[in-house]
Amino acid sequence: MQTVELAGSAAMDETALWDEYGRRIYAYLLQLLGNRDSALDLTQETFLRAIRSLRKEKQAPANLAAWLFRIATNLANDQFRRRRLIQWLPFVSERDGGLAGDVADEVTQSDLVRLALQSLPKESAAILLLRDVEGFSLHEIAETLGQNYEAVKKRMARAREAFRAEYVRLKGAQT
Amino acid sequence: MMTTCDRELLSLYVSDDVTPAEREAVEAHLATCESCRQAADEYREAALALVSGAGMIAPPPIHRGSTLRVSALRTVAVAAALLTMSVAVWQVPGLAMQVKQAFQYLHLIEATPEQRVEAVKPNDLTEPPRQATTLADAEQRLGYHIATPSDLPPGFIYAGASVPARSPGVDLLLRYEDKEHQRVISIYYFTPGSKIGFPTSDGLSREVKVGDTPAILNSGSVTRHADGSVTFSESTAKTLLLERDGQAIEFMHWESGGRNAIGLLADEALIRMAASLK
Repeated sequence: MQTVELAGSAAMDETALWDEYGRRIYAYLLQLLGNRDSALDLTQETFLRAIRSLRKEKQAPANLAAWLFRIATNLANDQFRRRRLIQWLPFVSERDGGLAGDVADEVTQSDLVRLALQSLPKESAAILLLRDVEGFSLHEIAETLGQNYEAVKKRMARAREAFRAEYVRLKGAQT
Repeated sequence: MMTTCDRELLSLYVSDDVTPAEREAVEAHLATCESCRQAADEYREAALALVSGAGMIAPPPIHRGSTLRVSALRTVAVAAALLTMSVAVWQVPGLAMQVKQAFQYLHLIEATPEQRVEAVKPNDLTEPPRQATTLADAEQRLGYHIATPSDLPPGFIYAGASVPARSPGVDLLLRYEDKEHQRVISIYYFTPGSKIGFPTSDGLSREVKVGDTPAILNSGSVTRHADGSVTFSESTAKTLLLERDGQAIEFMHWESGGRNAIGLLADEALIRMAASLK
């Protein structure tokens, strides 16, 4: 993987990293996971890992976005696979108040999207989100997910069809 | 020329992932196929809804930039800067708090042993966090002895401490991690005198002895709610709750994720660690 030197102080780069990608990673995880607590946890974990790695390596991957989304996707996959909530701190969410909650309150007008997305295998949902929301190319998605281009292309086509079918079905059921 | 309906190609056409020749073929087919035209419209509509749904997600409630700057600070040298910054961060709930804590940890991991504890005044978000640079200083501020374990499981190191914001008293959390940051043990010190009880759940809880002290070991997560109720949930985490000199102390052990997860410690390792508190 190509690398570029981190310019300036690491602190500035870390700040810029959050400014640039904080909301995007959070929104991606929120849509992928459908749960705000988990999305918050994994957003935090994504940036923690990224910054640890940047500090250690002293250089950033050439495609920073693909790399960050890869970390986020891997964390989400781990969570699905192991079926447990990653918990940073016991009690934090309850004591902070108002953190617990389903994604529904934030996307009330997008219930159809949420339900349709959650009916898909997570990998399909990830591919659609990366392509449509993040505007990644298929090559970038392949890099992000660690898969080859042709496989991603086929999976995206299948994912789009499945998402369309479910979206249309839910929309029909609603009216 | 695309003479039959090819939904795979059509979906790739909609996201513009086709070659010019494929595009031409699809467009020629669309001109003659009502069913594929409708499918293409539905692909677009669903994709637009997806994008629009993402756009409606509010940003995580975090004071931009500030939190990450915490990580670059050196505890003592820039205390003043930290105070200024922290007010802004601690006034917003949710992720800001969690990320701030995370970066505090990260910061603390890299601090020297003498600088390793940062304590903030709990339960008062209008007052800037106060700094404590040693456990002794933290003890003074919290008003109780912080019993630390001498018997750490192999590979584990001290990874930071914080006073959870808005905790109802002067709770404290210490955190230990293995060197790969894969496994975590936190020790949660409840405010002395707090009556938290020893709630148990069938199938998840069992009584154990930590030295001579009775304790409850739970498989799974234990969540204490603001109203005092407790819920148990199955997870790969485990908790160990005991009372020591009138103070409830809870150990929690979990994996913080990662593709090469290596599994949790044996119960006995956690019990030994708890028994070594001094």
